[in-house]
Amino acid sequence: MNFDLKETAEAMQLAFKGAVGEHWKDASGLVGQMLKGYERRMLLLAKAVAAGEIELDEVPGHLDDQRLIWEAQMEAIKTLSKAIAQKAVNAALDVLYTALKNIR
Amino acid sequence: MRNLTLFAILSLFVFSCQVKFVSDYDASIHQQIIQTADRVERMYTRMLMDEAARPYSVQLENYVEVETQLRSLLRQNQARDKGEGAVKICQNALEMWTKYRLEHEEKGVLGEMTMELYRENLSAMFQAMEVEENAKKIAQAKEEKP
Repeated sequence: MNFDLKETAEAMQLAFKGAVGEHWKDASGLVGQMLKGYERRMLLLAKAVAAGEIELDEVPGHLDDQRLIWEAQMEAIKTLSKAIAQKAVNAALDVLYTALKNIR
Repeated sequence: MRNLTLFAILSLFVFSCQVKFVSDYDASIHQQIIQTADRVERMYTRMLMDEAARPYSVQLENYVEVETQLRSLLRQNQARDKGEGAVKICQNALEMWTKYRLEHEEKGVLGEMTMELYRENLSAMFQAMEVEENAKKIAQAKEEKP
């Protein structure tokens, strides 16, 4: 029997970390982009109000648009996190499978 | 013989343990998102640059086409396994698009600041849609072996 549990567990952990690592930075960068976009949109809303194109009583409706956007963006981040987790867990399982293949 | 049986059982276990949290990446849906986002961007940019393009009646064809594409994306995502995130984004995008269309129809012409705001809002919505679809590529990608 050629199966080292400790070694396999360490290799699985490494595979998991490797799969998460690179993408985690992308996810954080995305949140930064989203916050900047929100700033831009709020500035445009303020300009439209100042220009008299949007009345004050219409502002709540426009803030509701921002809620729709945030909800959509949160769904995107949720899927991104799940995709990273899927890749990481499956990478660890691949290591386990390879180790099990070597059992003789 | 015992090792072989053990190997077979464990292999079966590991194979069945490949997890799936998100739906598979779909290149045609990704392409459809990009094309619809581009059409919306073009429509608002044209209205901002050309006053003759601003009346609702001039943009009617764009409204019909974009709404059709958004409904198509919603329908396709509703049919996918584990596609609830994309469904929610499409529902929100459709709600926003319909609201803006009705406002344009009622007012006839939108103000410049309003158009800029709507272009930015819709762009953020399509970005979310694109990020969501693109993320599924990550789930499918295999780590490169050294």
